[in-house]
Amino acid sequence: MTKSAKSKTAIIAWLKKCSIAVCVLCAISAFFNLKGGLQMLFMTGNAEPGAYIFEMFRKGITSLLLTVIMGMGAVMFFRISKEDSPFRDRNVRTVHIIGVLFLVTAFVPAPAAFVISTLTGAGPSAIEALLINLPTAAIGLLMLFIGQILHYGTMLQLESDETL
Amino acid sequence: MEQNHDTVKQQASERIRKSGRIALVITVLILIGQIFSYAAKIIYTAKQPDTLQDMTMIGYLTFRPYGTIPDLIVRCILTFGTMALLLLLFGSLRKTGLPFTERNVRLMKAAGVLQGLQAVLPAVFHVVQIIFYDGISVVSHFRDFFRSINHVTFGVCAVLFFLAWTFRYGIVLQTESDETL
Repeated sequence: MTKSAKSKTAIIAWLKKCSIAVCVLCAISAFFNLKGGLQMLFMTGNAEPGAYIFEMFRKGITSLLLTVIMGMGAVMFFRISKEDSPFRDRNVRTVHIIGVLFLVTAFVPAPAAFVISTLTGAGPSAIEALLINLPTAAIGLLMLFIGQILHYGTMLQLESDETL
Repeated sequence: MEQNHDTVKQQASERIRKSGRIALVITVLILIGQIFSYAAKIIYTAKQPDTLQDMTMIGYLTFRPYGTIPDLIVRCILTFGTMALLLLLFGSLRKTGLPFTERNVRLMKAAGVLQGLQAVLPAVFHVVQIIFYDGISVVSHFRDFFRSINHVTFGVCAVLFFLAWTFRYGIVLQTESDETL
């Protein structure tokens, strides 16, 4: 076995172990986000009207979106732990979708919570509908950027597979 | 076919260079936001009246909503350290468009280490500060320690290390590709 092939095998082995660890972290995070999100949404029936209901709806919707993101992340890392390379088209697509979902999580929960709480007759002021979660938006854009890097890696992987 | 691969790789590299510029701007904006945030927290904490005389948990919690000043300073240094490393990483990507280099792997691993410290050190400070309070058992201290770990930051640390290993694999592929040419 050549030196390059040995180092490739060793790195892939480490990547598979890291993937399992990150997969477990994502799965745990998805579970707690789902629990928290459902608790928030079901508790609105007992909450006081006004901005409090808006906050609970906003946090509930955010938690449910994060559940989907973490769930997709767990599935992707599990897949990477079973395959021989992280640079596959499916993983690039998943990272792009996760980036878009982070952007949705940044922009959608506040207006959605505003509409729902207004329809229940207990809405906050209209300005709160414009709340944007800037850190989440930044993470979304960074995920799209990481997707570009993975796409470049996919090109190299394809070239390597064709050479072999 | 080789020319086709080269063209596609060059296009991907060019996209990385352009996206690197946007990533750099976002990181600078986050850094500026963090500077103001930490400055405000340190000033607020410094101005709080000292209600710690009674050595009770209530006195401690009402006195320090953001933690102590040494705790804030350590978190501030670790955050700015991580931001600086990410700025160097994105700067390199903007310049060269080549993500899979040893330098980028080292930068990412260093950022992962700083995030790991940021996840764990505040929990250590928290437990050390309340270790002399009466009525708190050793089991409670351990439980407080694990609860005080910043789980989001710990997750970011794990992802950064994973990305560092992914980039290392990318270096092997890049070397193979360059040698084939």
